[in-house]
Amino acid sequence: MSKSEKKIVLKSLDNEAFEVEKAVALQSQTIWVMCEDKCVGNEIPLENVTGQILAKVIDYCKKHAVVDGDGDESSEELKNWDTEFTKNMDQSTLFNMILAANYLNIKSLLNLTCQAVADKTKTIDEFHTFLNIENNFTPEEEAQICQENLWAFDD
Amino acid sequence: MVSEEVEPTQKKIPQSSSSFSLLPDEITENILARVSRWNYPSLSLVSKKFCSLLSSMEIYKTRSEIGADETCFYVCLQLHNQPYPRWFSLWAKPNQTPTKQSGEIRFKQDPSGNSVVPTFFAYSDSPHIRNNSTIRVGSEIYIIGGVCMEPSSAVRILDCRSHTWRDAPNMTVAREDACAVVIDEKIYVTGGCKIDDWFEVFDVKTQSWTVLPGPRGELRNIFSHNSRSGRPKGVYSRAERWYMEVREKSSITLHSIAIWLKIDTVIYGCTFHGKLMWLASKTQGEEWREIKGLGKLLEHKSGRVFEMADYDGKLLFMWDVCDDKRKNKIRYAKISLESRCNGCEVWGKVDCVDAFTFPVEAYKSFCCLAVPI
Repeated sequence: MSKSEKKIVLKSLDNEAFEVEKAVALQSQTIWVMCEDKCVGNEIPLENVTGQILAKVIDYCKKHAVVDGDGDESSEELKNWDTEFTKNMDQSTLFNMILAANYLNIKSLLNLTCQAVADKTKTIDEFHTFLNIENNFTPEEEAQICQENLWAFDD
Repeated sequence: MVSEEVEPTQKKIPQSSSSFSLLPDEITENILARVSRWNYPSLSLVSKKFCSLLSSMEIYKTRSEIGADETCFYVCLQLHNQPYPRWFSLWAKPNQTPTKQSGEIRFKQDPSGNSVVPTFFAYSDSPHIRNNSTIRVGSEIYIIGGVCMEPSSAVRILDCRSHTWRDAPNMTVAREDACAVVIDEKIYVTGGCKIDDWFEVFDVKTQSWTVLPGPRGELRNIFSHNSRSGRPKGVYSRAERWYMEVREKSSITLHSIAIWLKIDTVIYGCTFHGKLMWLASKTQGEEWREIKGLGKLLEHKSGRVFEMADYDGKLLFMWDVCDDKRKNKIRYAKISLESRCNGCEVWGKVDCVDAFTFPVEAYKSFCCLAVPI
């Protein structure tokens, strides 16, 4: 009985179910609030997250729950793990991880993924292509900004 | 079947659900705050949303909250025959590979490279400035009073995030070449006015001036006696006493200190001849001592105008150079500092020596401040 109380089931948008330790899931403020409300049973539906992304989020939470719990891993190791975790994520995965971290309200994961985007994108072209953002300036507006910041462009 | 060819523009971005422009502003801001400030001008061109996020003050709050703020150096040059000083910011260029060094320089060049960037505001916005009356509070530079022969009670503030100027409330007296120091969001000012040792303090939070209490005679005693003489207890807070100790030492000691700087808990000074010193603590005899290990650097450097700044815990030591007749370079050394012999000695190690070149004819003097942005 006590065993089942310690576990909860997270259900993704595409109906994939993940059984996880409560301590792992409660790193999400959103899930924490849902559990506090007691209006949900043992199964928590997460309507904004796909199974593929949720699996990654749970990986992250498991890693961080263990370390926060008994501290047998140094913060250095954890940092390396974090770096590896986001290193090979493609654009759309990172994008969805950010949305998931935001929706689930896991601050450290949100910061980590935002940092990963900042690290991967330095130039204006990278922002346009990697982040898939359209340039909505008129040529006149663009020239105006260039004029104000001449120093940055005369490389 | 012409419709297949409708979209010839190569720049057109394929419609996709994962465009970052769909993210809430606070997340975009979280990402942009983590990018070097150096890239902000070019990133302003990404989209209108980016432009407005990057030009708001909020992003600087976020940068400092998440610890992503960077130290930027501001240099103000006093020019010959020019009514106003010129301001520049100095940036380490990201991913810079050092150029080959020329000839006889015996020190390593700065591997991080540097770039001198003119600041964009009207020259006439800036008053003349002096090292000891110009200080940094947060991301702002305060210029307090006037310079020699031009006493003023005015206080001007340069916001280094937006590069805009504003006035702070005036001091209670006009001063020239005053001395100012900032401790815990309070600016202590003395000197440069007819009433000797007239202290006043500016509270940055309330933006108001208060004349410091305390009989002036006792203040004079503090200045004119050495540390072993009796000093009034309990009149001044520790912070104020720290300031007075610096003043006292700089005016009395044989090695007269032209400028000083606090890095972590230690006060460093530079003499009028460009010798680098540190102030030993009370338990160590409370005296100025020379920083050891810098003989080679002192031999190498020339110069009559010196300046120091805190470079992430290292000492950025700057001096003027005369290249032929055109004096538009400032040389600098980055010096790592180490306490040895149970705190009896401070040793310096020169990491690199390099120069900033300014787009001006020739300067008379200069001032430098490290500002986290």
